[in-house]
Amino acid sequence: MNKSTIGIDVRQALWSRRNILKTGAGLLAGLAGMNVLSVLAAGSPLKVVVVGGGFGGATAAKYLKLWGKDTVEVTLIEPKAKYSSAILSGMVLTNQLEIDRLDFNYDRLTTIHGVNLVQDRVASVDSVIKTVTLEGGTTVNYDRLILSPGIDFVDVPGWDPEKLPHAWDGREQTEILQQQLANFPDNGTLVVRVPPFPYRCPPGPYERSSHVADYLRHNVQGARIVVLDSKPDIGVEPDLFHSLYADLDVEYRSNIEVLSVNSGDADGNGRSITFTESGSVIEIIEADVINLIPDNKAAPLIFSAGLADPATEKWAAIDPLTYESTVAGKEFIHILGDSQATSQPKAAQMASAQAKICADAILRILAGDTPYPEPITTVGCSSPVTLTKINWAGQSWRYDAALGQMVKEFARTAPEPNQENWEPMLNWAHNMFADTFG
Amino acid sequence: MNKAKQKHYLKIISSITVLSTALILSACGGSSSSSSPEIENDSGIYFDISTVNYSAVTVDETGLPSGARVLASQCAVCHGTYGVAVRDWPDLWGSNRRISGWMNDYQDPALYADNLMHVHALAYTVDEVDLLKSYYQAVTYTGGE
Repeated sequence: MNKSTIGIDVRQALWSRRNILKTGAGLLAGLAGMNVLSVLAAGSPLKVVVVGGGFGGATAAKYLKLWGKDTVEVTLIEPKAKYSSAILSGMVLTNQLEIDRLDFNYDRLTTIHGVNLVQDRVASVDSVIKTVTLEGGTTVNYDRLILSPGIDFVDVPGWDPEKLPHAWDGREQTEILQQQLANFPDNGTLVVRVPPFPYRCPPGPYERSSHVADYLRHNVQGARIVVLDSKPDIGVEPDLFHSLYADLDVEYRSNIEVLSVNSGDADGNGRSITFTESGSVIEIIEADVINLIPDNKAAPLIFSAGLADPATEKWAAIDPLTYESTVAGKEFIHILGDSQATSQPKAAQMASAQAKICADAILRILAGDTPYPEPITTVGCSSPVTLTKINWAGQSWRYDAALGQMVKEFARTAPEPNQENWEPMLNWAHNMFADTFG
Repeated sequence: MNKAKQKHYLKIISSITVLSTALILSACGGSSSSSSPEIENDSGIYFDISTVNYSAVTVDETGLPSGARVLASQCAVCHGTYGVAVRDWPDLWGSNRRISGWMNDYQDPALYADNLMHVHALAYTVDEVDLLKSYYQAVTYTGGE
């Protein structure tokens, strides 16, 4: 995209709004900016439509109103009445936390912060006339569109997610896996499939495997627990997780390619996973519970709206100064969080960090300024790795102007997981929930 | 610690105690069965996101440097919107914080290499820390916890 052109367009729009009475309608003919007519016609604030009420979208909506106040009109489009947090959902799987405690509605965004909420799903985006059409039939105009639609999964032959849950997105999936683990039989087998990078929450599959293993060791006898990793080795903190898996008698296998699964029948019989290790002989494991976390890709909306990076066809290419799409013809559309293509980790907290940079950039452009030139994103997340021990990891990323990309500067992990991190984890999560939905 | 926080804190402690007790019982009992384990007692863990009164927040934007707002917003994810934290966690808002001092301290690997704040402190230059400071000292909150 051409940032300076956009800046000029918006500056012209603002200038014209201020000067319309003085300069008259003749000015209009000379302005090519696409925002101009809508801004002038209503004498109204910049219309920002945000799609997706997760951490990215909700944070963007809230911060646009906090900072932009009456200069922006923000509409959040989200089909669900409540967001169910994946953060801390590991504790739901192990019956340490009620799933309802991780539900957050949008009441604070609407009543306190003045965000308009439309409970619907996007059917299509028209980037030329700048409208979003909803499945309910409504069409919504935008000056800026922010998409934070999360992830989708690459299908696996034979896979029925109702029977072999990924539990990697949404409350229903978490509940399915939680129930299957709660009913896990003595001497049963659990398989956890770990996808290749990039995917949502890099340490998540490894944390879940040890956490759930500890849970099963305390509740059933003789469980066989197998981690089938697509990668050549544990991709995050390998020493820690190899050690935990040894302690918990978890079989870890690497370089696994899953060929197909049998989702079995309704009562759970007949489940199996077929795979090769390093391309050698085909193996089959029959299991009582298969937590199939497939390869991740951007949400369907990214593809239907023509926003996928032409090079990879998997994620949405964006400019990390604004999170605006870099696909030709898709100006004024911004993509946050797991669906965008930068190498920053796909995680709720990162989506929230990006949302603030995006909101700030949109408001700076609106005010005739340029985006902040050297944004920083930081994450510091905590998770149980056993029933009692909490691990944390932190990273900071900075914009590199020469590369035009975000670059990881610093990363640290907890020296060892421990129980003392329990309360800080709850504090961290609570503040994050409040910063996004509160 | 005010009363609400104290109550909350006790709840957390009690939930950890319940959990630990459950684990000990389970370990000593020995006879694991395939019956569904349930959360017999309330976990005691709640995340009330309605405690901050945003109408009691003011930000004096006079002379606030460019970039202060967006850089400071990164801290807010753990320390609360406008640096007004929930739960028992450090606030950042107000003129009486020593944000530069803290960030300087946290950069010391001898003292804080094992602290999550170490990586966040390393992330910002001295000038950027000044921006964080300028933002949070411009925030006033009169809403209590």
